[in-house]
Amino acid sequence: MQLALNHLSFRYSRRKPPVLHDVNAVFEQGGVCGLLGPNGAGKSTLLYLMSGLLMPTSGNVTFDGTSTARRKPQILASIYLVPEEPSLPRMSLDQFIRLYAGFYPDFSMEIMKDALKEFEMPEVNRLDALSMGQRKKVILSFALACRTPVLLMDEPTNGLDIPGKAAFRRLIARYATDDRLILISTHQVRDLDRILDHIIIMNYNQFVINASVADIQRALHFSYGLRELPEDAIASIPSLYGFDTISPAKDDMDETEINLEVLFDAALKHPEVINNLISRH
Amino acid sequence: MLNNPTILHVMKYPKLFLATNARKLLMMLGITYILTTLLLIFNLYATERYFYEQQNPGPDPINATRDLLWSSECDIMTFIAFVVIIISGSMMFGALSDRRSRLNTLEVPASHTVKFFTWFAVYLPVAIIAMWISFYAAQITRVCWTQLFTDFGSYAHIIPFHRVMLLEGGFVLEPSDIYDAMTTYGAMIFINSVFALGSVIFPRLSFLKTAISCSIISTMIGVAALLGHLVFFGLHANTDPRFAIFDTFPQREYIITAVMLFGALCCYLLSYYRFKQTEIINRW
Repeated sequence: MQLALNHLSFRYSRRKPPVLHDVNAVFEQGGVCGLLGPNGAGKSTLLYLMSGLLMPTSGNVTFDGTSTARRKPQILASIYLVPEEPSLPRMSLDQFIRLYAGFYPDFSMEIMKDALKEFEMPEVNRLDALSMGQRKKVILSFALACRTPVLLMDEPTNGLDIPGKAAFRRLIARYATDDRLILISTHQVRDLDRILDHIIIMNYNQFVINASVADIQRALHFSYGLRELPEDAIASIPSLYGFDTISPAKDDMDETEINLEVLFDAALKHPEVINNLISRH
Repeated sequence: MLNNPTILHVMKYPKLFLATNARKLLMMLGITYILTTLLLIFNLYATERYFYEQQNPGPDPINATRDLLWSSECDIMTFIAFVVIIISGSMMFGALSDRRSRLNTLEVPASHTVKFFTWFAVYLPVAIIAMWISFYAAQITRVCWTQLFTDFGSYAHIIPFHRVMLLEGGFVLEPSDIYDAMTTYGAMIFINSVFALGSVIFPRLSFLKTAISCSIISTMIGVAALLGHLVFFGLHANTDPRFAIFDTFPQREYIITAVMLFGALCCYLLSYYRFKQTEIINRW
């Protein structure tokens, strides 16, 4: 399984600047990838391009060599997108599963039930009677149960309550298998920082960072609650007890837990420095 | 093999579409039935009153009234048929009307062809069959009303179903009725295709924008045709023998129907290719 972005460019209209410009990337199966970026960076646009809901201005997105913009049924059955604001039809949950699950050959009713139980969803009758957060939980459960090779999620924790966010993390950790790629676009970095294997940070129509968590941890050192800023700090953000900083890792240092907020800040302000450090390792 | 997405969607998408749109389709059927029934009952009283007030109804007033009743009922049903066809054409690409429904529709793992043919089948042939059924049901209701609430018992005749299908209500079925029905249905299919094309080009306010566009285009074509006639034939009638075929029956009907069906095919093809290019955003 391979999802590839080949010289991908996209703009909404000729009068507006490009949202993506000549982006190249390859996603292999296995792992949870976080897609971060400031507002308007093009995260949702990228997910729509990957799932064939938008046509690239130039270049293409291919899934196992076939362009996703052709929207062939085999590709649509292999890529599932959870939108930021999902809508559900006016029917019961049983009818929804009966009608939609059949399009996904690997759909698992056990995973569906497990996910709904993890989300502590009450007995669901009418889908149109659910709140926004409850609809999100149903769609997330269905998305995980489809077991598509590629699962794209646009702000999946938006609208979830605190127990729901914890349940989401547990479910992703449980069902992120080696034969599946999960790509999550989010602003809520704290909801996901412990479950990501790969991080992409977007800005100004490009991928500023596209690296695995392991590579980032080898290249960068994250410090928490420092009273004074170290001399080699690349970036820092104030925290409750001082400063959280990011600096180049040294050989005698242990790997530290990634602070996505500081990394995000550093990537936007000093992208060349961060990328040089990561590529050196 | 049955787990192949390519095959799954052919079987499952029509079922999904009908299940998610059942309410809307049944409402359309119900409204067609109720509107037709009301108009037929109103027409019944109007026809009876017409003969009551006539000074010289002729030697066979009962059959004459029945013929007039059937004829006027078929005119009413033809009018409602065109309204239904226009509305169903405007609804053909209703699944693309807003961002959320576009996302839900485009994400379903079914090919463009299956989705298009499902919508086409529901909003043209199935709509026509549903229309016939509601017309016939309205006829039955009109007959029951006549028997129960009026003393027009002589008029309690129901138009035979095959005449309801032809939308021709004379007592004696003539060959010209068949040709008229052919032209009528040709026109319906063409108008349906025009409004279907409009619904894929204009996802929002489809009916209004399509009607305005068609009015403008028709006016331009009409003015161009009039100017052409004035240029080539002046104010005189066209006596060129090469055009005599247009005055010959039924050749004229065949030509008109063939042109309309060809036009419908072009509109449906354009709709299909426009649909294939649909994105989650509306660039138009």
